[in-house]
Amino acid sequence: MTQGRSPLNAGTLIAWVTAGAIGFYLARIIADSSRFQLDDKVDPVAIAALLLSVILSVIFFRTLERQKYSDQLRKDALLERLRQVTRSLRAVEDVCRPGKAPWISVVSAVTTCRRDFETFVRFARELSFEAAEPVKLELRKQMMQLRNLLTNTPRGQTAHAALSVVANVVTYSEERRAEIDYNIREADRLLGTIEILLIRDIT
Amino acid sequence: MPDLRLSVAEEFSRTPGPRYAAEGDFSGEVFRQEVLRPKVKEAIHTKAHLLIDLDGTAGYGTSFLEEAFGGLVRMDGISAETLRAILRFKSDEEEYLVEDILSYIAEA
Repeated sequence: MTQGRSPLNAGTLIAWVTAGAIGFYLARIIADSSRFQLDDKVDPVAIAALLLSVILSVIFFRTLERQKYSDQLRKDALLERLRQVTRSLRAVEDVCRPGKAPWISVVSAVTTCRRDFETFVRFARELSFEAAEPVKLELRKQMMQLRNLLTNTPRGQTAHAALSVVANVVTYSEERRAEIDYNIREADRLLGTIEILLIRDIT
Repeated sequence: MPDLRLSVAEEFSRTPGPRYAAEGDFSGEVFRQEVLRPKVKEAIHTKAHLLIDLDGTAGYGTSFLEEAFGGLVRMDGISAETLRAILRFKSDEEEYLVEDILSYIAEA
């Protein structure tokens, strides 16, 4: 699952060449069969070459099938991880929508979202999905910013703070809610970009 | 001298709170005053490292960590260099927190 020439293309080429070789030998045998007599000598080299071509062809086609199946599994695993990040982001949005929420609910939701994203990044690294590195970095910045917007209460006594916490309940100003919404939309956009790149990388 | 260890989840709370005690329970301010500062001072006095285990909690708000660690510099007068020399972190669940904390110490 790397960028550039897919092993599928090279394998397909080899498989077609092998099939062509088999066809050539079969054609030779059919052409010769019109002069074939029971006591004629069979060319052992030609027979061996034909058998080898058949075996190689079977091996190549089976390898190609396994590779296709393996790529599909990888894509599915990565897509599921990415969709988990999207679900976590929705949970953050739901917690913050009323503009007021228990502190622990906000912290827990934003922490889960960030952890799910980092899990996706680790999976992507292990499965050699490299196509979206700049987008992943940008999304990481968005995640950090989201956490700050949601949980970085100001130092000291600040009147009309963008966010304030009283008795373990955090309240966001209208302005802060707009910033949070924008940040979440941006994160959604970046997640969508990664998904498209992921699908393109495999197919 | 054997290194010291501090687990936030075990010695303070599994649900760290907001920045100040006035804002809610398990605040960064209380954590710094009652748990972190005494351990840091002990580590300085005994010339040991202090390993801070951040795992096992429901998560940290930015202001909790900033008040706890940035506050050591800002409120308790411990230099950033001293803290960088003695503090070690374990954060398997959220590796990025270590970098965040070091930036709060540097910018306090």
